[in-house]
Amino acid sequence: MRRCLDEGILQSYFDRELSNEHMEAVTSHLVSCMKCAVAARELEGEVLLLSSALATEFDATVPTERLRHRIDVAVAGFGLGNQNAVSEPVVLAGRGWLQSLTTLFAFTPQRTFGYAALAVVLAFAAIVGSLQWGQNPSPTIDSKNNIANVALAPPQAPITKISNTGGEPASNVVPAPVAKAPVVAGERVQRTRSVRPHTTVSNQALPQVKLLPGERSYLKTIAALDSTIKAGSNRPMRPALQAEYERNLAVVDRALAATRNAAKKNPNDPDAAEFMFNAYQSKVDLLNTVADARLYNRP
Amino acid sequence: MKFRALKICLVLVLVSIVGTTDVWARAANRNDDVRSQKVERTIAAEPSVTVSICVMAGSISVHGWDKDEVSARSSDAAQIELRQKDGAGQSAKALRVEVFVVDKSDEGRIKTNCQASSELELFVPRAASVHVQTRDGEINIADIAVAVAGTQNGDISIERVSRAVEVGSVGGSVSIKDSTGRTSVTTIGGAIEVVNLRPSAAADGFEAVSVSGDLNLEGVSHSQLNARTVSGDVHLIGPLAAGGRYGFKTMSGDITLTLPDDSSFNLSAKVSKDGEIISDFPLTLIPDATPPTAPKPPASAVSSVPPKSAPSAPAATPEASPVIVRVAPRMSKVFVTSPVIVTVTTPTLRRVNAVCGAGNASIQVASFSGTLHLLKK
Repeated sequence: MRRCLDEGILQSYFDRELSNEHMEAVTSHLVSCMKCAVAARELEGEVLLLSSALATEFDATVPTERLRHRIDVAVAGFGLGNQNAVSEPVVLAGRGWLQSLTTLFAFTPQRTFGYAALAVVLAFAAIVGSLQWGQNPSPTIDSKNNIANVALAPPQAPITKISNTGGEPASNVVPAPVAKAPVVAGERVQRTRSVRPHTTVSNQALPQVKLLPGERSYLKTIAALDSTIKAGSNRPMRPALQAEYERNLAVVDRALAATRNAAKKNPNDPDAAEFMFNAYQSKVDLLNTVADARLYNRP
Repeated sequence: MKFRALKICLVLVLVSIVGTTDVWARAANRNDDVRSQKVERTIAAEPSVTVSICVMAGSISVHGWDKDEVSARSSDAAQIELRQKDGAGQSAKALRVEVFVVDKSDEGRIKTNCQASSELELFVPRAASVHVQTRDGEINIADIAVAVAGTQNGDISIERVSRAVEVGSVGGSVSIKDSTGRTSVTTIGGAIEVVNLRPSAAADGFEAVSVSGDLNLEGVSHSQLNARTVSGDVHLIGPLAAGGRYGFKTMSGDITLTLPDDSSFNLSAKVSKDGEIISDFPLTLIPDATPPTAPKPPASAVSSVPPKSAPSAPAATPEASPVIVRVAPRMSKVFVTSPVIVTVTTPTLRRVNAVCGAGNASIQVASFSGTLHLLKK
């Protein structure tokens, strides 16, 4: 059974919100999972279509300069007019808040009984919680892919939406890996033009794909070229180029999936590996050509 | 009285209509005259001059001629500049020339290069090298020494180029005829058609690469020929060069080699178990003396283009097995040496080594799911 990527991850992938490791994991998954590759192409087409259709809206400054100026003037006038009137309500509000606190801790017999009941409930919840914590296995970290994998027991529902492609052996897929991406403080938030709501990477599951030896460098190169091609996402690809690109990318991806499958089934066959690497090279060549064509399109 | 006034008004309206039409017609004629005005520029150049041109859209035709001049002309461009880029003075003959074109949409100022949309005809000395780049437009090049051309959507046609051809297209097709020298052709979706190509030096090679375009190669006499495609078909028609090395790779496309009756070659083929090898030629199967070498792993460092090598894997153990080349109905003769050992590397892929005649040429074929046809011409 193979877990397909859900739409949120794909959206993050196209918005370049994933870290390099996750980009690589998603790329390798897309290479080996035709269903996800088709979904990814559809999503990419929608993103490009919408971004081209709404390009003027995205590029416009909101609110307009004139409106912004009027708002600033109004706010400034309001601040000057009410400068002296603000302090008194603030003091009154502070006093009211302190009074509510003092009444909260005024112990009457009824309140004492209520607090005791609350304490019992909290203690019971803490005990149950600690017992549940002890039963769960600790998460393991895959040092190669830097992805946290949690083996879930069968009754536990997976966190993300799961679909079954049925075409791949289960041995290569960890049942329910959960990636907890570290939150980097101060990381620049990229303005995205998402067409669909999506969740962030930190709470998404990335299906882990076992890479064959030598695939990693190709995947890195493909991810880099893919980023280059998508770098000018505010300038959509010309339809003719996009059509040619998508058509041939589908061709290459099909070949890649087939050869990869053969290489995986025959790990000791250098010919199978060579076919797979030829397919990878074809994809790199295609992406290189399209990246060059994108550069040429710029004025 | 009333009727008379109405009549006068009607006449006035008619006169004004006729007058306006005439003015419009004159203006249109004037515009047509301006539009049909040819712009032409000429510069004296060395015979081996290098000329480069880049436009956004519009067909470009390049012809070699016997004059030591570079001449550019267009019927729809607003302005053409021939810029001498070799640093020599204006009096000296140019060694490098860049052609700048300004179209009528932005007349009055030279736009950034590659932004004009205009049809262009270029005449250069026969020994010249020409670099042509366009996005949406056809490229036709004839009778020069070196042709380097690239387009995204248009077709490329090359004829009678004497030293080297290097062309690339995304969606357009490429046709090369009656040329000599090293040749490299790349397309994504367009077909490649090559007719009558010869090397000008021993080291000259021929390479054709596509993703989904078909490769039709006829009369290519280079001793090193490589053709690679993902889903396109490969057709080679013509004699093999003595001592030539031929490589054909496809993923799902078929490979058809139509060769003369007296062809002599070594065949090393890698096909899938579903793929067939259909041969009109008598093939002697030979055992794979050397087990398939394990490809080297790619470099660990990230490079812009990863190496084509595969990771080190244990070599497959050759094992004796029945002959697995299917004797197709077309295969008239099969000479089989005894005992026949064909290395069966995997249940999925198979490797076939065979020889026909003295084995003067070497043919390497790799097709993941396509069929190899060896046909007699």
